[in-house]
Amino acid sequence: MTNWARATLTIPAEHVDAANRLARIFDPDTGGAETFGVCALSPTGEAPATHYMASTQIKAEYLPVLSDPEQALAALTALADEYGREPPIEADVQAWCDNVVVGTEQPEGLVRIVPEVPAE
Amino acid sequence: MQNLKTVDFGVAFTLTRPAPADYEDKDGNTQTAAANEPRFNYSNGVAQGLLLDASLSETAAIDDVPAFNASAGHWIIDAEFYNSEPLKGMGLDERFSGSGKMVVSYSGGTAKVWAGGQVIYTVEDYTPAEPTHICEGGMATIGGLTYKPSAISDADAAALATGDFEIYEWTPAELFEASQDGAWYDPSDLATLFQDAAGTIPVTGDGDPVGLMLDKSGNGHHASQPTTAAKPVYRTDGMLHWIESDGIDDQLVSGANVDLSDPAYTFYVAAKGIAGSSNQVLSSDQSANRKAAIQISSDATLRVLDRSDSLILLDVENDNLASFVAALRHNSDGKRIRLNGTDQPFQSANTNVRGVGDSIAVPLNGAQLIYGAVVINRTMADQECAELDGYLAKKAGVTLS
Repeated sequence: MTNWARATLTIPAEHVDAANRLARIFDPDTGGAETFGVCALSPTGEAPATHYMASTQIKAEYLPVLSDPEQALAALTALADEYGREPPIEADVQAWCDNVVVGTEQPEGLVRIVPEVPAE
Repeated sequence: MQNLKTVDFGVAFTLTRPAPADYEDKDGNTQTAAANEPRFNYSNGVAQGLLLDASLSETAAIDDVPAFNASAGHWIIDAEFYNSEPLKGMGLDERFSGSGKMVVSYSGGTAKVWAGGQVIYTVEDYTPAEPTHICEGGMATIGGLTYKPSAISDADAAALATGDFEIYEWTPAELFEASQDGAWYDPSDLATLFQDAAGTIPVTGDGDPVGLMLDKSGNGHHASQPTTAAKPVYRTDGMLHWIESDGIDDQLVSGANVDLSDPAYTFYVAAKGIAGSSNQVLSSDQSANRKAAIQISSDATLRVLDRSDSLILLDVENDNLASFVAALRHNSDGKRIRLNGTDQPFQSANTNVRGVGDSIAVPLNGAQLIYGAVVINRTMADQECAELDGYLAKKAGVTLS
């Protein structure tokens, strides 16, 4: 069994594209580019979204490097090489490290925007 | 009463069957036995014995067991069983499949079933009782049945029990034997779980992400998720096994659509909610317009929904977020809902809601523990529901009501 840890990663909406470009690199599977976008957050729970959150299993050894630009760039570059993917853009890494909130819960002050569905 | 002199039966029985049925005579010709008339079948001129088919409501009630001994005795059965309980009423309470000679012995408060020269099933704290029927359920061909009101040694029982039998265990695979479309997901079968959507990295232990869960129905509707953040996790406590979703973005979706164009279909899921979360456990679509869904709500209610018509078909309190087995059965006459093995009254007066009506992907998602799920494009018979209720209840640790 791999040493997996559960983490929530929250990123401001304006950096969601950069976050997904990086997620495409670090996700060991093929769907990393879809990591951020499903779970939208805002201070009121109403649209528009101000943040996006992902709750993910992540290999424990990567947790310490998520918010350190130098370590993150090195780790992502190594992963891109290992997986045969495009290397990370440095600006994306900087934006990620400057803005990501890593935790185990939904950040305080943000409410999930629940999509409208037919009445129950 | 049929007092059998022509075959090796040591007991007399009364056969009942509401309608005539066919059998093969010793010349290889098909004959028709009248209602309530036993069928003694041959195959290529070789006598096989008494046919008993539960699907024909065919029963063989034992009239009397000669000199029944309430302390010790044994039965010698020469038979072929498929999902049938031999000597119904004596307290075995287990179904068997196989063929040949079986010995059932009882003495000293223990009953044993012998086959292949060994004990294959034991009933402890056994109270001897006369069987009421030769067998019950499934199909059986009884070539001989003898009772002896005396104990038998283990060595003798082993020597006599030359047949090959095993305890019959029903699985949902039987629902799909007629090639119906549908899907069956079984998180307790690690061979069906993979960490990646491509199915190259097996799930090996508690906490591994699940990127692919194979469909065991044989229809190829494997449920997958290529985005690691959206993968549920395999969990186990050593006894139970489940897929756990986080309620944020986790979802497994059948890649190939299940054909539910037939207006009849059945949804079945064994699951458990997580406090404060709300989402579909099993639904007929990924979109908000999903037409049928089983849901746990954040207010700790279990709901079965027809979303298209905005109907709540079942809405029951589940305050302690207990594990459950829920089902939605739909046919042209309407829908039926089951919860933990019992049909439930509808919340809505309108029970004749529409069917799914097209091919759909089946998502398993939400903040839940999912122990197993079955979707099939036909309504299921009551007996099938009872079997599936029991099967999924074991998977989820649920006691059926």
